[in-house]
Amino acid sequence: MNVVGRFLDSGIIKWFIIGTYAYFCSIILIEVVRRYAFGDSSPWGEMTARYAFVYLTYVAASEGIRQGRHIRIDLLPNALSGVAAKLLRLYIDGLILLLAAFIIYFSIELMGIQWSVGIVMGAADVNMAFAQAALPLGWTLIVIRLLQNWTDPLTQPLQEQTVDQNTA
Amino acid sequence: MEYNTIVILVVAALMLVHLAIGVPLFAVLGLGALAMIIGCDVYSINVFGEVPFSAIDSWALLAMPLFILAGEIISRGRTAQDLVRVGDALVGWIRGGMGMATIFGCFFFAGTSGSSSADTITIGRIMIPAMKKRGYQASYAAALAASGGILGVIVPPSLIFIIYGIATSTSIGELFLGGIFPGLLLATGMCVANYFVCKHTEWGVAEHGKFSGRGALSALWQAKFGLGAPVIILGGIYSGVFTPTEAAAVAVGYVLVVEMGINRSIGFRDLVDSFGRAAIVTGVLGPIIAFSVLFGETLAILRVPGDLVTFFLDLSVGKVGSVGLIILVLLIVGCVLEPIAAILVVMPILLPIGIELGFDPVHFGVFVVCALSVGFITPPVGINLFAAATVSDEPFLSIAVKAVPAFFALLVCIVIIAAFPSIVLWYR
Repeated sequence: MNVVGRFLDSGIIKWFIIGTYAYFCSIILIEVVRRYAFGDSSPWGEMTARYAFVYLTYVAASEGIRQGRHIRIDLLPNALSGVAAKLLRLYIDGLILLLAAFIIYFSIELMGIQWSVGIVMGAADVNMAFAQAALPLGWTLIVIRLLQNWTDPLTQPLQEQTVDQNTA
Repeated sequence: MEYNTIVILVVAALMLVHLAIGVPLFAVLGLGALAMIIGCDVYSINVFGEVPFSAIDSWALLAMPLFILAGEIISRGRTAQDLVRVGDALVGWIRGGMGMATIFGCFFFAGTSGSSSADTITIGRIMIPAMKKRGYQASYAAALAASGGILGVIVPPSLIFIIYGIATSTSIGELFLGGIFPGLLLATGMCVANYFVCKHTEWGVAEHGKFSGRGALSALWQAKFGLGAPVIILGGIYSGVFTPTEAAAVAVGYVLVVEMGINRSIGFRDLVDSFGRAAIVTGVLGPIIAFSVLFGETLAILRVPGDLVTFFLDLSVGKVGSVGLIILVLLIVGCVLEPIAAILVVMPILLPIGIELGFDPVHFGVFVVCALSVGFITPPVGINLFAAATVSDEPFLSIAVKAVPAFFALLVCIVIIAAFPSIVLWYR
């Protein structure tokens, strides 16, 4: 687990996030320019931007788990210490694992149907399962990060960033 | 009592308990929907493989990460300082002018950032030390930055309006337009409160003595690129050149050109950091949006919003009483839940009540967002109070106490916004 976790910590997720963000940001800008400058736009630009956004959301959500950024009321977790705090954290993480199990199972099932029936993306001849894979990939990363936080917790303080980033 | 009603009440109670003990909101919403689907047997459980994808796979929602990124980039650049100078030139000559400049600095900065904590931190970093030098008490200066930061989610472009628009199928463009005057009203209300505080305490004696038209024009010219962003965003949307999502991408391109090309205030490393930080915010909000869609659909199938509307109207408290109750509920919810998350939780229930009371969806949306946004400066969750505490090194509770005048000013303004729809719907 720690080997996988440290591989994810090494920067691969960070660059995946930056690449995905940069892709959908630039493709939308290019489409705007193409539409007004050349009176033309691609049928796949908007579609791939949306799918890149779904990938970004769930992969970044796993980073949110790793860094403890998800929105919650943390008065009780902060007030507890020792065994009580660990038991509460175990219970909360257990609930997230339960939710992740449902999502991974049913999204893989849906991918199987898309693959076997041959459902393709609207504007490209590519199987829809490749886009749908964002869910099992993202939620598997969430599971890995959740478990990694028990075996290899982050030590870097993130107080200022938490205030800055967690919210709108 | 019907079986389904009992299940819904038990699940709702369990969701509140789990939220209170620290379970992340996305998990509470997801597991709440799961429990209702299994308990009431009203929906296929296969939706757990589908809705978390389809809820995010939205062209309109793409505006959210792009505006977050634009805000992240601009908060690292020089634009905020230029915008604060505009506020100072416009209101700095009045007693308490530096405090008012802070609030108007937040107002102008909100035109690009779309985020309340970014507003508080960026403007607070510049203005809190400046206010302290002018004799303001440090915790009060921090409270002003925290209160002004609220404007980040009211003045367009606003993340919370994008999410409200998607959750309720309301025009995001109309919500953006509808937020302009309420934002101005809230800023003015907070400035009036600040004036009386300064008059009472002798803080913030007029810095410039009198208004200088030349100084104001000079400051406006200096800040032309910062002030240009909202003009391009709103102008592009209303002239039909861009959709809100395309406007968000244009905003990212614009702030990159301004901060990297013209101002040369950020480098490649800052840009990489901005991508990373914006992505985390997107990753935090995305699952909440996905599960709130699933939760909202489950509630709708169970006809919970309709039953709650009937219950609410049966209270027979009249429209004024109902609006008062809604404000009270929103203030309480805003105290314990971050407003952008709160809007996803309460809107499936509150919007039908608002419509039944005769509200226009755009007017109701702006009113609800304003009321929830007060939660940014109320304990225990008050995100802007934490943000201001981080910037100023002042205790959270001292800042919360000093934000009380702004709290009451905001309450008065919210009642005015609810009572006068034309403040929101002026463009129709």
